[in-house]
Amino acid sequence: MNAIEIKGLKKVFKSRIHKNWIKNIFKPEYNSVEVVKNISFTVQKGESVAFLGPNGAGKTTTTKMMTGLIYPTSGEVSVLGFTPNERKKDFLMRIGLVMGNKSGLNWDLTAMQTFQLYREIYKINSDKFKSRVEELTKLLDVEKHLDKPVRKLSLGERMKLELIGAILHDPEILFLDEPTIGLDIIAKQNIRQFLRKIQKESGITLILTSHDMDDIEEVCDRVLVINQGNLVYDDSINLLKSNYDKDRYVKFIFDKEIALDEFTQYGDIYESNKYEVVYKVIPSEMPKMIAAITQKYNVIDIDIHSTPLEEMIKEIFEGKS
Amino acid sequence: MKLSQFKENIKEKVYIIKTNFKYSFIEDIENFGSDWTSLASTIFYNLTFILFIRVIYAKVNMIAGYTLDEMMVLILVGEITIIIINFWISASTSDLQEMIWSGSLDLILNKPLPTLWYLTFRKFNIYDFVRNGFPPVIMVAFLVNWQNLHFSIINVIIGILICFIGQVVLGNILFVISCFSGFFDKKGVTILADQVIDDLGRRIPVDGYHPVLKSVFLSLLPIGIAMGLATSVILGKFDPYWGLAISLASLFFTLTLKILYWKYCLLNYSSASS
Repeated sequence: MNAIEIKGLKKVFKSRIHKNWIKNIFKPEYNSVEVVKNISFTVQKGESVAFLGPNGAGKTTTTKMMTGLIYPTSGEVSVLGFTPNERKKDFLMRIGLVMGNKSGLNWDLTAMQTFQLYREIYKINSDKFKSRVEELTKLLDVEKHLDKPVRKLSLGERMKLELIGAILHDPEILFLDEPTIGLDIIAKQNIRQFLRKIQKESGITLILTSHDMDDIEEVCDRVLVINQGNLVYDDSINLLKSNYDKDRYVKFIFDKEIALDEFTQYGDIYESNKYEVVYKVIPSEMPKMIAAITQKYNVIDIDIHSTPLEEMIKEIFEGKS
Repeated sequence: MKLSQFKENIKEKVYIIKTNFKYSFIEDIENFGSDWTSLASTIFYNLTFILFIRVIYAKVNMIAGYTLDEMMVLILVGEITIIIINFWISASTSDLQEMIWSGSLDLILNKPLPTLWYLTFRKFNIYDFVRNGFPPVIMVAFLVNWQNLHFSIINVIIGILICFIGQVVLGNILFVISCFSGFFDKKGVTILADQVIDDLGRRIPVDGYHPVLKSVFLSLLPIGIAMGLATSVILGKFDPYWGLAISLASLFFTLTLKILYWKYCLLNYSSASS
């Protein structure tokens, strides 16, 4: 059964061109920016879907239209059978929203006090509330932070509590906009594992927007790539990786300035500076290349990365697969 | 709408006020130790102002048709207006623009709440109301020579009612201004709105503004109904029923404007970028 159905979705933002005030009133002129252009897709109940794309691609705007925060210019949006921008109470009771760089928790209250407020807003039964808070805080290891004012918490602790606040009422769909932004590796991993666990166990539908490829790999099964307002890829994450994540990026850092000409013989140079050189290689050639360079030069560090998101998107656009 | 649905709506709205009141109080307790000097500054300000009025009245018996004691009633009504505005309107409205610009409004809009109602009664400065509001009101009340004044009970009741209606009218207008500046990024209006909301224009300089804007925002809006009309009715200088009719008409007009404008703002909301 479909949780989300989007058909021909479009969003145009208009901004007024400032002239003198008389013209502004009687003959206003606008700049139009088409942020989302004719996007269509469906999401099944219980799916875990990622929106991927560079800044300004339209992924957050699409998410906001699905949550009813902004009105689409045209097209149809149906979430759990509701039209989101009507903002019906029954609809809002069944969704949750987490925004990585915005806080829903009150700065001067403790997280528990805000959760109590949510309990009242979502009319959660007192026993259920108690057991849910206990269960979720234990899972994310934040029991001891429940009674501290939010302003005294670290970003990681606050984010975990934000997440708990968003799912206290047991929503059917959870929208997450950059939930791990600015967090350290451990906090990121905790949140990813937590999301995966609740998605598997409770069957919640997850819609995740992120720049972080690791978030997407660990939490989602399906990926929608959006660029310049267009949906350019819609398939499983495994297929995306097998199709586009074929190269490795190997960075060598040297102890002294290098002569770049000497390094072209080892492979395709992706980027370089006085002390560093980055190669784009296929994984099977990597050991040979690392051995050759480390034998001849004094290497102080080696970094190996999978294909950056931007490269994958570029390849999707170039039609390589 | 069915009667049961209507009752449910009313219950929910009362519940929101109750809940926000409770959490505002908890929040206020967190800041118990701060800003005690404002009490001293408010009392000092009021004493200076009253001294100034008395010096003027030493030379004349009447100003704009008001005797000294009548003027003191106007100051008292003004003081009550200010503390209620600080207690409710300012508390709920002053950071609305900031919420729109920062996108934290998103996290309210996605909750199953009657949003406009929730935002109107989002916060109450309870502690400020008790600490900074009451002492100056009591002080001014003691300085009025009540024996020199004659009141009709009807006039007083309707006058008080007009004073409260006037505050709601002012709240509606300031909400619209805040939305205007927040949703459509009009910073000039924002600064002016801040001055009106925060201090009813006491935090001047506002010399840079057009005289019409100055009159409307710093005189007419703040004192028009809540202070001026209410005091005139209380003192029997204006027909109470006409006064009530004017204030109710203003309430109807501004409330309709607020509701329609809020719908328009939501329709045009772009939500701050992530």
